[in-house]
Amino acid sequence: MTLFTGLFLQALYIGSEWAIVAVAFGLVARTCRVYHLALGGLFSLGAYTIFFVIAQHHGGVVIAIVAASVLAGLAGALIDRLVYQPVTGLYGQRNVSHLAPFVASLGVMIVIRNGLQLGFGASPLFMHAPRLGITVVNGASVETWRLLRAALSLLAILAFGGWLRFSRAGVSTRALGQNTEGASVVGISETLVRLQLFFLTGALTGFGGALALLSHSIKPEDGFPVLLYGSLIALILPEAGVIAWWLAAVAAALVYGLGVVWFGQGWEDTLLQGVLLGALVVTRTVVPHLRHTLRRRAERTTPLAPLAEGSPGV
Amino acid sequence: MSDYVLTLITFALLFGSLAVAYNLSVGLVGLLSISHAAFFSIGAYAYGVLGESMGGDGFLPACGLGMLIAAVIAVTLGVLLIVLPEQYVILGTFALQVTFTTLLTNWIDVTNGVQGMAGIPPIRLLGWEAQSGLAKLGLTVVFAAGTLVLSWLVLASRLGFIARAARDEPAAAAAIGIAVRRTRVGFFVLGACLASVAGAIYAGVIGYIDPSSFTVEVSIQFLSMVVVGGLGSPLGAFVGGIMISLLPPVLQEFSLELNAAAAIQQVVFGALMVAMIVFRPGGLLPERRLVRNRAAGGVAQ
Repeated sequence: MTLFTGLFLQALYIGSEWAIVAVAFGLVARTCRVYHLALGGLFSLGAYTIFFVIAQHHGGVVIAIVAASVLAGLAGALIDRLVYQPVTGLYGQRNVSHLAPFVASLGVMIVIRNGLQLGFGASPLFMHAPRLGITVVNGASVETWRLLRAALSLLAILAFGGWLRFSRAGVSTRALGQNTEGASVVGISETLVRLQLFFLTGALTGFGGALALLSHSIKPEDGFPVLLYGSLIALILPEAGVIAWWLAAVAAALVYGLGVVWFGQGWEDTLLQGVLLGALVVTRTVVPHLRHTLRRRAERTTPLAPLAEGSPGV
Repeated sequence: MSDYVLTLITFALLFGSLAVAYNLSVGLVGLLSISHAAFFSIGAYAYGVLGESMGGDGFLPACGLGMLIAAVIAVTLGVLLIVLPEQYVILGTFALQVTFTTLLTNWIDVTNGVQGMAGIPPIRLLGWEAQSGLAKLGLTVVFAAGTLVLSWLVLASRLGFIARAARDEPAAAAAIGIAVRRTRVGFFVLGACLASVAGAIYAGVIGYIDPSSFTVEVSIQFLSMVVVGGLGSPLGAFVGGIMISLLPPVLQEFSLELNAAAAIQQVVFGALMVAMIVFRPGGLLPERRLVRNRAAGGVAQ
């Protein structure tokens, strides 16, 4: 029981890292039909910004986290304006390959990741976590900071969900995701919505990266696995809400923890990637097929209503 | 010609032909996979393992084994993912690539982990050994020529028309009886098999392999070769591969520290990819697309 509690607590804080990227990736994909792979770079950018502010300029933790979020948000908005919008033809109807946005986003991720390596070196960065003591839950002990970090991530995700659901800008964002032409007809500015969305998702990801560096060491390439897990979770449940993505990320992190217990250190990534790929294939192929088959069977077994007297053909 | 220059040309040709192989799936049928370094690693490690026991004669068996493993993985992945939209294929192959890097690092009994495999023997074919720099260059010239000729033959054949139809107008292609999914999986498998052979040659030429040569970034580097050269164009991919592979030695001329040079190189790859996509989406040597020449009343390239 203690082992399971320990694994669950670990899943809470590891999963919260992936959940932030899943929310950001999923919302951009749903709204703008752009697969924002550069989020992996923005995650690392958040982590490196907090290091820059605290370790190199002796700033406070709160200021550093805000700076990381704002910088990553600005970078996200800039990437959309300078790269995604021209590529997707928003400002010019050019005939580009359908692969172009993916290639461009991969390129941006590579530039950010290696730009950070150029500026800060390839060695992992490490910062001391705030000392808040140890919390014991059901016999399993965990650093209180890690629990707080999971709670902060969840709060940020909920705040983002709240913005999306209740604010005017959030409603415009959802409208754009559901019907681009309809949103344009009712006067929603696609450019403005994109600007807000890319800024906020970038800021959310930067916030996640900043919290991550306060919990464990980070290398420039650490954005890759976080992006991979976050994006797979978002694509497995493309229509889900932010809470469902958070729950899925915690479940994935639980599988990750079980991988360490069952197969030993080093194999947990392989197990999780296999599980997520399997889940992707099942949810996107097997489940729709089953649903379709069941619907057709139900239609077949429903008796046709008798034609009324006087109907055409009777 | 100095050994250094010979080595540069050898690797440029090898990566050029690898880009041509990659172009078969990403350019010709529009299947964007980020797992090419994984297929490349299969051939390299197959020769690394067989070369240890069989020496240079292990090259052909390693090519066979590598192609078999690459084909099985590509078919499995292709069949599973091809039914999904494009973005799922990209992330699925991304996951495969990351899994492979983990596997190469952790399967120490076979791959020797991060220490890598050293002392891989030079390739021996029908009694002829590619020991000298010139012999290694000759081997890669033959492979590059073979890959280019195969690619052009495919492109000019009925299969090439079918592939491009499946890429550009999948619904229309399916309507006239083209097996779109099977075509795309077929080209993905062909690209994977050729990458595996290139991996075996790479191991034989360089003599040392470790997981850092087959990471997700290397896969993205292969993608940048094709994007810079021209998606869908074999010659473009070949030129892109040569250009990108010659970038590291050019950077070395600036006497940069090793890590900085590697990072600058990657920044340049990434920036080139973005710049190409934004300003010249067709690449340096764009694919010649089929257009209906109305004036002539026929189809012209």
